[in-house]
Amino acid sequence: MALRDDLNLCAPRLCRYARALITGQPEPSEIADDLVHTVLLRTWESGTVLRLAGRDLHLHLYTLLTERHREWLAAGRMGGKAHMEKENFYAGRPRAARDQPVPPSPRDKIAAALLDLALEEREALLLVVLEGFSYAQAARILKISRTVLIMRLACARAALSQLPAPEAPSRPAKVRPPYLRVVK
Amino acid sequence: MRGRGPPVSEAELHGFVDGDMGHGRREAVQAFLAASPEDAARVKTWQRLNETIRAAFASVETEPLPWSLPVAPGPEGMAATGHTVGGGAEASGNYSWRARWFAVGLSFASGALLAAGAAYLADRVSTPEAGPPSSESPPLARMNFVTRARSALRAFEPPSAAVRLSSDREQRAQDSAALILPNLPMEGLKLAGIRALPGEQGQMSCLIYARPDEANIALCVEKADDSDETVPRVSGNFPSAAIYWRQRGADYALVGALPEAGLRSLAAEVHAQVEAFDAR
Repeated sequence: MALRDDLNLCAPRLCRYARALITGQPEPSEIADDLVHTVLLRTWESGTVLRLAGRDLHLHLYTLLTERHREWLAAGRMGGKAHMEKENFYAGRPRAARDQPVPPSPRDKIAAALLDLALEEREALLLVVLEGFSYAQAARILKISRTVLIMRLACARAALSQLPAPEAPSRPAKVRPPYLRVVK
Repeated sequence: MRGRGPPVSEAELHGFVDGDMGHGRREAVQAFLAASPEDAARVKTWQRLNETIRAAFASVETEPLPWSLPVAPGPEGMAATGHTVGGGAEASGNYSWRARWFAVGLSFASGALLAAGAAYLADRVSTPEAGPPSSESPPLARMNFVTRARSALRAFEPPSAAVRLSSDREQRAQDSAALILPNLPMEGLKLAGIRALPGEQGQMSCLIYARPDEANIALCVEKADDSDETVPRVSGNFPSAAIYWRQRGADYALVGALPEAGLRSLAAEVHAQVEAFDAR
């Protein structure tokens, strides 16, 4: 399979990781998508030299994305943009709803909890839990030892222990006609 | 933590939850958890947490990608996410990737000429050096760019009045990073003129293309305030939408009354030409 096809196959998963890492939300994010775009292009440009394929390519993409994200954070490039995206997210709500305090949905709680984690813990948790990497692979992506990775996982899990349970697919409640009664 | 055999470590409990266990240890961990309700409850919480996180992001993998994320967008690249590009693949025909690059190559010669023209244009008009890179690129600024690109198309008069350049040679500046203005490789398009308008980062240059019996199309470019690239995005609604992106230190916008597939296909071609351009 050509490198371009490999990269395009990886794109959805990279998007998922980038969005979870940056916004904690599954919704499209301009910053996250730009980050993925940059990583794919850089890998495409250097791919013929590096001769990456299969699992190595996969690990390379996640390593690059994680590093690039850290660089953007260090350069202070994320703050303003992320804030603007958050404002835009809330700006779409009806005015009355915006004026009143909105109880956070389970999804908002997950996003807030993820973003409250230290970056290193969030990276470790998302690579293992969301992206399904083994401990050895995640440690390689983060350039840390397996022991440190597990410590970060443990810290993340301790912090997230109060998260709500996953949303069950909502099923409309049965409406019983008022004239019917259960007769035993 | 003791079960049967060697003691069960905290790391093994995490490994149990994440499916990352040493050989033969699963039974030992299970036995340990059966004997320790407190640890079993912790492990249950972690498993629920894993499910919660996976469920929260399950939709991303199956939803349409931003249309330009596939690498080297073109007929094949778009086909990979055909559902996201509104049929761009059909609009581009079924020719192969190699054929596409051949087509790009053919159009590249004229694109290179235009790029040289753009360099001359940038040299003739005053192009102040961009300030220090901003720490962020407000989307608002990019939207202004798109709005100006639209107005460039709207205000375009017959080609004879198209090019109005400043003759102020004293403000001429050597611009090593000349803007790349590729040729629009669409059948029936004819370059009608070039507009130079004041931009936020110096001068915005627009190539205006005429189509027989149809509305014009404009490809506008101006220097970006930073060198980071962005994915192409759509502004407005088709068929009067614009597609804009940042590439190789410049903001590009493609504006014109084209159906979605046509405009996306054209933008992909422009993107590929700019990417392939080598000024050396």
